[in-house]
Amino acid sequence: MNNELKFQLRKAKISLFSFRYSPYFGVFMPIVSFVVCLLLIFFFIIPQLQSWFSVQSEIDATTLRIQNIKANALQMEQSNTQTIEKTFGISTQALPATDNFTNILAAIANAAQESQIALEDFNFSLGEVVQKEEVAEGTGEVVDQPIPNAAPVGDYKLVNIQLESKGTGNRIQNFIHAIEKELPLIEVKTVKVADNRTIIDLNVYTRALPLITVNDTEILSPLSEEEKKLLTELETWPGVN
Amino acid sequence: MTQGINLLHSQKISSASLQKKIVILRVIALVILFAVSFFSITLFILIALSPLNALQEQEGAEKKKLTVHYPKMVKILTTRERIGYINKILAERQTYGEELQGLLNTVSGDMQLDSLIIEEKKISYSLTSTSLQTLESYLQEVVASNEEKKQFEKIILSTISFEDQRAAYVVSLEFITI
Repeated sequence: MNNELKFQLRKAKISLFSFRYSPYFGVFMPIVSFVVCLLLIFFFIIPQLQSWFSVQSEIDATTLRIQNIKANALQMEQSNTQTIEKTFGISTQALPATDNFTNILAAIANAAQESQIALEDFNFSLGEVVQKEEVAEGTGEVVDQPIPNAAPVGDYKLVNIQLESKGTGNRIQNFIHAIEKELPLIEVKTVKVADNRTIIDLNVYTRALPLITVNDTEILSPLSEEEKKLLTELETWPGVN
Repeated sequence: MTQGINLLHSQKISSASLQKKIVILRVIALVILFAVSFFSITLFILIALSPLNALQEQEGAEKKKLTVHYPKMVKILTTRERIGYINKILAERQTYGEELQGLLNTVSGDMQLDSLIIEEKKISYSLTSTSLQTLESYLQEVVASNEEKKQFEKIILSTISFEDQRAAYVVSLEFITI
């Protein structure tokens, strides 16, 4: 060990001793303690506290989700499968997902029979049977290609039908009245009666089924009274199977 | 300048006072250090022993049980979605059945419906009768009925004419629905 190093070590030792026996040494340890406490508070306690609060809120949220899941399960166990099937059937018959030829023809034939008019020519503008899909430029998402003659109007697709019939004014108005109370839902667009011949232009509403996502952590509320009332009314309309 | 005889006495007092302060400071530091340590250990234990994991496992198990009911839930949600749009259609679609029944059911036997056109909220038709009186009473009846039912925004008498060939009066009417 060279002399310089020895000198430095002795110098350090003397400094340490002089600090140890100086009047400031008494306050040194408390200050160190305070600093350690501050470090603990900022780097350990505060993050732990935040973590604890987030854990608590997550516990509350999870407990609520479990309660909701249990409530949904109980509701589903107690619900009547037949009623659910029935209401589903009525609603999808009233607003079908696809252009169902059979149901549309049945509704028209039923209204014609009820009003005692003779239908002559039908002209359905249903477009393509299979809906095309195409990939949107840029996004790469698959988007629906509108079907010609069944173009989407707002939230729906309308299937246009032209009918020709023979019948007097009273029978035609009975037919219009009847067709407006048929399922699937039909709108009378135009009617032209002249020389005992009638051309009726109808639009049938369809709407594709959306992608339904079941959120089992939210309570599935049962159908409201208004919704039930509407379904009961629709049930009385002809066209419900 | 000290007033006492012993010049060192006051220095000892100040030294003892300083010692006392230092002791108090040390006690406070220790108490704070202990409190902080206790608090941080307690928090650590609380977090470690939280029932979150157990709850999350329970949630997973409950979700698994619920999957059996998914078909029913999808049907309920679809029904609700359909009902929403059915309501919208029923509110928005133009209907003519009720209005036409009100108008044409009152057409008496000595009147004849020549033509009828329905389009875009408008019902127009022409009636033929040999009696002007019949047409007049029909018009009055229609107007009175509308005052009661408020089905039409406007009732327009488009034309009144006389056809020599049929020897009959022809009345053309237009009804604008609300």
